[in-house]
Amino acid sequence: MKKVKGYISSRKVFGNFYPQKVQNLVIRDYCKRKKYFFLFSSVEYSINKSYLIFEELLENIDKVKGIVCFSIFQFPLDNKIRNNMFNKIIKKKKFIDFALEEISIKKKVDILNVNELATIRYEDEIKKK
Amino acid sequence: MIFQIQILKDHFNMKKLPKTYSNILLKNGYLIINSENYGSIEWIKNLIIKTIKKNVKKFDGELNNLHKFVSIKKLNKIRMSVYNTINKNTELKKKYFSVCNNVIDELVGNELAIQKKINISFQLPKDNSSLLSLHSDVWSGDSPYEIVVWIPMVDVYRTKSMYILPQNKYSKFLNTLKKLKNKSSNQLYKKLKNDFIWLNLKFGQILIFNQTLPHGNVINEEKTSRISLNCRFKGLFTPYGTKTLGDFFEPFSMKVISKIGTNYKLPKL
Repeated sequence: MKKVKGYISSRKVFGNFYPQKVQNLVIRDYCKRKKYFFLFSSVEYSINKSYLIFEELLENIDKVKGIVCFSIFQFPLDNKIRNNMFNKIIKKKKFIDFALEEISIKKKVDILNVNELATIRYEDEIKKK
Repeated sequence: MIFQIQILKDHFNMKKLPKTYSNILLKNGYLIINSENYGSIEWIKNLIIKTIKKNVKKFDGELNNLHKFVSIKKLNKIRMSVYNTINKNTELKKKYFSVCNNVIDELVGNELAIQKKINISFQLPKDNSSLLSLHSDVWSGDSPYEIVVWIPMVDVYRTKSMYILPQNKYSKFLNTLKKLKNKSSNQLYKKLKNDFIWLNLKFGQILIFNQTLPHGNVINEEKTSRISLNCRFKGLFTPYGTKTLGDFFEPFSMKVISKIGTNYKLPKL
């Protein structure tokens, strides 16, 4: 079984608030279906724009096969900043999954697909406003 | 937070402070007291030992030795089982409160909300699977109107314990945080390592701390296991964070006039 670390948010995720208990349930269910061995989730600081906990996960990524996040929308809206974060994982030959969207990044091409999805969703949200 | 610092500045300008729990908390950010009810703390310890024994047949009953009977792989399963079982005991919260009743009364008040489930931590030597890196509870959903009551079930010291940033280092911390905003929490910890205080407690002592102050733990490099409990108390009618009344907290004590008030409805015409 692939060992994975969870990553959840204590800020709003794309304008919506999800209790940590719910985020963990979504991750746990996803890991069960993917047959991952789920370790505890790390909780990102609620401080605006903080990714200090995510950076710590990256420092320790050698201990696991990958990271399972609650949602892609926990990450910065800016594609470049987000790509930098995800590239660090791919370089180490690890993966990052997003349980809510059920998508996974293992290769560079996956980042492009995720960006496409994120951009469409952001545009959609902007139009609604 | 600026408001909090202002209070402290005002406070330190006073020449002589009476040694009340409130003043110690304001000055240091934490206080260590002897249990107000030793019987209760023994009761809690026995409940934990009894529950572990049900899960780990060969366990010798000495919590310091837990690592000799439980593998790190099975640790979380056992921890969850103990956590669920002890929290089913309706006496647990009353006993927990009784170890620091008077202090809570002074620091928080007498109309209280309590965490619905009391947390239990197992820190086995060399285990890196259940660490809580540098954090403030307020950064992950708790409100600043809460206090943590932390009870070790064994003597704790150095890496077998936890660390906290004392109140007088908080401004320095904020500056460092700004400078290291793109780094990891581990780098933040390393930068401030010498400012943290490691809390040494004997079994029977209680730690009460301001959870807005950064704190955490590291790998237990001592030879014995740490088992500790933690629970938050807050004024029932004070603001809640994203951990709210109902999902994370429940009413613990409420005065009659508050009961009358919360049930009162203006007459309708």
